[in-house]
Amino acid sequence: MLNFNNVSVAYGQLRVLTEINLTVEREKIISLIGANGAGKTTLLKTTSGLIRAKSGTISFDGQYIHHKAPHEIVMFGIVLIPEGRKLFTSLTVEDNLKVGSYLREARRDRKETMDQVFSMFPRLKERRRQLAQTLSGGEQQMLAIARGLMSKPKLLMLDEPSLGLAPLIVSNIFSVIKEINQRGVTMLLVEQNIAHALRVSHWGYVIENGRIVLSGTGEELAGNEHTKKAYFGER
Amino acid sequence: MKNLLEVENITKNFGGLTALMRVSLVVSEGQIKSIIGPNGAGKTTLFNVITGFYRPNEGRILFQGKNIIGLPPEAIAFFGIGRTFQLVKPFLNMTLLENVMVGALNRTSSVREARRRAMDIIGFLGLEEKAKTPTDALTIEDRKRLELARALATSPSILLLDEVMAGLNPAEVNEMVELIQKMRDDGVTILLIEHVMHAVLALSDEVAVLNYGEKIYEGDPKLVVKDPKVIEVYLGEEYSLI
Repeated sequence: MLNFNNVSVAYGQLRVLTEINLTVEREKIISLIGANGAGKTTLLKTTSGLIRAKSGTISFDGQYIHHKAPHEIVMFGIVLIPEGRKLFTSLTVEDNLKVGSYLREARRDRKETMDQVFSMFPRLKERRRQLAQTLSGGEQQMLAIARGLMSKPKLLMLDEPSLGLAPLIVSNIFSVIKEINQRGVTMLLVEQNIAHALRVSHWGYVIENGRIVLSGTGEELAGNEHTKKAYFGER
Repeated sequence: MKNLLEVENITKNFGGLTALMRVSLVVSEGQIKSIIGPNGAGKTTLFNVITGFYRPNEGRILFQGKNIIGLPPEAIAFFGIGRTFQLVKPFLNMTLLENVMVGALNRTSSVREARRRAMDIIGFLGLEEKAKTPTDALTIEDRKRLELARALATSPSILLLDEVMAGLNPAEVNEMVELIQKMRDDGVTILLIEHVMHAVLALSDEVAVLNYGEKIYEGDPKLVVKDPKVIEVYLGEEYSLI
């Protein structure tokens, strides 16, 4: 579905991603694992068109997208839920969701999608008229995910959805990720909660200093000696 | 052990919302104590009350036996209560060293002395190579360390850490745990807010749990993970230590 072919990205002179080759298969959950500063968020932003690749090609459903602008890439069905949620905090829950369904096709199905989203997140339904800023951290993250779903994405990219959340809420977030995937949405996930991420992932890539150094099923990566040492801190 | 910080019956309301309801807890000298609880339980509000950012509606806070309610944050910092912020707040147009020097100037008016003290701390945290780096070029992990360095530079007797593990992977969490243990060995008492339970259990002598502004548990970290109420409101049934 999504293909990176020899993609390199640089900020000025600083190389951030080097010759990335990566495949995201339809209806799968794919995780990107790596230290802070390895280039994971950059990879998501490059897919979204927020950052331009310096060389290489990116294709989605057989069409090149690496030269497209972010608003065009959204129309392909590629949606990023950024780290830190970036909600419209002074709008209500419902209005945040409406903004998510701005695209013509999504707007047409807005009511139906919103019903689906509310059935998945009953808390948001209860709080539909509340301002986003009055929600707890966990509810805000749910709203960010729900807003992403309102555009009826084919590929949903999540950047650290569990950041700063209580253990119980982290478990909820991962159940939601699985549920969304079971409804047919492909997911590309960046997480520091590696154990949880690999448990739900069909496939994972390990990125170090901007290069992919390892890939495998979630189970393989969780059991790999290198990942155990470098990311789980085992000795 | 001597009591260093005593929080007594603190209540804090925001309009009709009670963020803290008669919360009491004691931190003794040399201890590492953790505060856990759901998002929105009042943990950061408690830090803001202790450090003078908010004035509580009721209650007292004694530091080394003296009531500090009503003092401004800078006086409280000068008395020896340091803190970090959940969302790191470096001065972005300054280098890492300059940021840490700002903390050190809490204790000295000599820039030279502040630089010397800042370099010591930067060395302690293993950031020497990045001392001259502009803050906006640092990774999140290094910004978290900088947040710690700047707070340490104020020479606190007690350091309040607000989610310093957030955004770190498990290996990076282990490094941070070691750093905090080293700080305690150097004589700094620690009170921390944290969701990363692996770190909470590795570090804490005692744990307090807040839920909707009320303390629902205080005591042994090994028992907290078995407490049914804490599992219900915070940890969840699926909870595992990873």
